[in-house]
Amino acid sequence: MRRAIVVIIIGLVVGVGIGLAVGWNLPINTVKTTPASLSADWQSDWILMTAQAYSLDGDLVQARQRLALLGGGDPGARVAQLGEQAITEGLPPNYIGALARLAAALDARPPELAPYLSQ
Amino acid sequence: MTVGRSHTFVVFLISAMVGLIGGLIVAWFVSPVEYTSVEPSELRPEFRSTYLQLVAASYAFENDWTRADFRLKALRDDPKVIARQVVEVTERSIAEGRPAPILRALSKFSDRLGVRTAAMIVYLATPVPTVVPVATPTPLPSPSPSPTLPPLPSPTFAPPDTPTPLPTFTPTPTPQPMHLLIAQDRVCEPGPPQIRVVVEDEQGKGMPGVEVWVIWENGADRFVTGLKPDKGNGYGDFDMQLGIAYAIAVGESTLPLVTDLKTEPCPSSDPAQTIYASWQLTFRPVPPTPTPTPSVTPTSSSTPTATTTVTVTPSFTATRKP
Repeated sequence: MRRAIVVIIIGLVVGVGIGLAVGWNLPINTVKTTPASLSADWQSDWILMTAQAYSLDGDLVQARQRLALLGGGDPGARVAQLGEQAITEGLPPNYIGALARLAAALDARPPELAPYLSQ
Repeated sequence: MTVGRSHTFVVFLISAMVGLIGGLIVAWFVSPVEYTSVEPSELRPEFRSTYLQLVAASYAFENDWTRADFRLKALRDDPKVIARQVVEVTERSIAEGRPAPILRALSKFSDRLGVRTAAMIVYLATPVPTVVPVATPTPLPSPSPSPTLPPLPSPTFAPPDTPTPLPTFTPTPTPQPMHLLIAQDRVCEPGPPQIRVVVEDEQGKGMPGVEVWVIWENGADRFVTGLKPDKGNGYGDFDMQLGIAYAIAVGESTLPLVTDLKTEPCPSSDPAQTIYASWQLTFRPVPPTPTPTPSVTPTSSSTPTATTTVTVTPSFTATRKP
């Protein structure tokens, strides 16, 4: 009897192990996730689009909510950092301007972005 | 002994099968894989809606369809499904009363995807302004981004930004008004000040479906009569803002028929409650003028044909993918 219980436990453990390994490596139903799980490039694009939307409607509350979905630290610093990166990469000035304005609205005003505030 | 071993093996197999099923259930349904560093296709539906709003706003800002299309393709879904989702987001945003520039952006985007609904018509007719002008030249550290941009895979015809442009996309005045103002009344009632327009036919019956332009210094908007049938088939209204002078145009002609419409406080016995005046305007079509030729026969040159030839100039669009 004791031997049968041991065999059952070993069988269950082996079966569960194989089941988890197969199930997690061959997923049929992955969890849909939040913007915080986006890759770094897509998060940067999310921030850029948020800044462009802010340039259209001037809705800072909405912009804050959209940035908050990304998690992380100070959203203003993050927008400003992306603005500086956009300068380095030579993005069009109106893109940089959108980032500069949103960063300024979020109290992040690095001097590099100042010339673009009116773009 | 042999019977005992085979019995043990059967017990093991059954236990392993039960465990396997349990493990699969856990791995697939109870605690499925959650990836990090994902693409937008992995966003939950509520965040996908936000993403679509952002793509639409960005398209309005950049006017770069290649880039918008790239962002949509990242959703890895059937284009028809995406178009339907964009329409849902647009109509929900209209119902929620989101800011007009975003509604214009969403409507334009939806139209670009080939879907246009009645609720979008007003927003499609007006351009999408940006809060801050974007065309001012400034000193740039690297003014030309083109050297770093990835080349397009092959010479292609850039898709037009507005495949189905509305004939009155920009309110350009035309010299011949089609309607006449026959009454202009100042109305003092509680509630927000409005421009209330009634468009009637020659017999004085309300005409639904007539477009009415409201134009002011920094923008324009449009509504259609007949959307509030309880107030009459030819009725439509627009909420006024204090301190703004409006002009009104009716029908296909965008020549203003009334200008300098402003709201102002009404005389009131209760100084604590200020009521601002609304304007009620009534229009009728211009009566037909006699012409030397009483009948006009349509000719082949004026008849719309089913086929239209569109010449598209090949052009390259510089884009930067995220």
